[in-house]
Amino acid sequence: MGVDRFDGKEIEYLQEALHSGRLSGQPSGFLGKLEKAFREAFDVQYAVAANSAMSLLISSMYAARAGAGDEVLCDPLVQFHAIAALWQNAHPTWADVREDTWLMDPESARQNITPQTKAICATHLWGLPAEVDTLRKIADENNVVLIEDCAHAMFLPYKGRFAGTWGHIGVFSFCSGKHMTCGDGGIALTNDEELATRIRSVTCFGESPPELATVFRMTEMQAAIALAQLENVKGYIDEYRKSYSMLSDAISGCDWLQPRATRDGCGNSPYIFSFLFRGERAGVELEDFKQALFDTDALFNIGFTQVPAYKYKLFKQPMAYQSKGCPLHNCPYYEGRYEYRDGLCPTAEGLLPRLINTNCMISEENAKRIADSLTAAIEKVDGR
Amino acid sequence: MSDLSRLTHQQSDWIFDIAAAFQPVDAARVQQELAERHGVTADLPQVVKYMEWLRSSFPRKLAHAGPERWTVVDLG
Repeated sequence: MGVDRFDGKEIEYLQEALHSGRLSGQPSGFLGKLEKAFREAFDVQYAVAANSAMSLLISSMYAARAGAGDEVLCDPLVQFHAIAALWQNAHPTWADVREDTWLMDPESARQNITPQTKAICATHLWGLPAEVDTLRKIADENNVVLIEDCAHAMFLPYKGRFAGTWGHIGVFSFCSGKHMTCGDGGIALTNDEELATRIRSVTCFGESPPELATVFRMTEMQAAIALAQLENVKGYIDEYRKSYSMLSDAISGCDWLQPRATRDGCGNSPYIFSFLFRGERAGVELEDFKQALFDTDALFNIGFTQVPAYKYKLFKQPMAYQSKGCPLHNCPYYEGRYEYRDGLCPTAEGLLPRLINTNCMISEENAKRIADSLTAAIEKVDGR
Repeated sequence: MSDLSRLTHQQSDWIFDIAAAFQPVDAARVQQELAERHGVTADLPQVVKYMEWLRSSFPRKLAHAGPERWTVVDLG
């Protein structure tokens, strides 16, 4: 996770927010300014800010009309979308990922859409773009909503536009450690008026909502900090691209570490630098490399979540709602058949234990230190 | 001597058991329990480093439970 940076107008805007005397998010205050700034920066018609990206994922499920008896097609490498689906009593299903980019495979998404599917959630995992042009086409053909998870994808170029503007909804995160932060927070972008209205209607209400809603409202303090961050974040990302490049160079000569593939027309908004352990190519054991990495002063992660989301007990066992089985195991509205079994996403299952990650939202100086650590660990194992 | 300077199954199991007992747990509590139960001498940054590496473990792993707190996930 990167270090949060506050070297812009954060203090100035915070003071202005405090002096305004109204701290709940105001359309006429920093909340409104932040939403307007995002609409303009991403060239979209609607922006809705909230207290977290997770809140907005839950609200987006509602906007997509995913509820009891419906399915939401999720990315198996992360769990956020499936959890958001559960909050709306919808049933998570999964599409597999590509073996070279680790991003949602559109063909697998196409194959896993059913008459119950209301939404597809694609992650721009760790700052590389999912194939959201193809996924949008599939979504439109099947009358489902494509939700782009842009938590790692701030100003991420993809085929001439930014990630977050290809789907029906793009959800960005401002929690600590993201490209830009206000402690917690997020924003949803869309060009669909009905979706924007539905998201806003469930994220904030005053006295008597027309339908079930809650308060996911962003405060003026959050909005003030986020606006200041937005003014500088492109510069931060340019720095992180240099760090990403240095880390890429560190593994470029190693035939048992596989770099992550990128496609033509795809940019990068570096969040996590990730590569794949292929020790079988050189008789290298993962445990030996793990210890060699541990012996350095840099932090790496091996295996990420270790197994795909559907192997976690939250989904495999009837425990989402006090062990009553709802909505995954006994929903009377669910007409589909879906078993959370091994082999649902074989590519994800094969990849996950061999993924090696390290933070790349760092200075070039720190990137050099981590790159040197990586090189030292490789040489240690190669020279064993 | 156990000081968390190497990844070992024994030390990892100690931390998993402590984390399971007190989750969501912070590193200071794990440090305290390691010292009392097993005589481990490690400074707090070393405990944090070791706990971060246990996110790379299987079938038991640590997972972040928000900032500076961890839980145990049993994937067995």
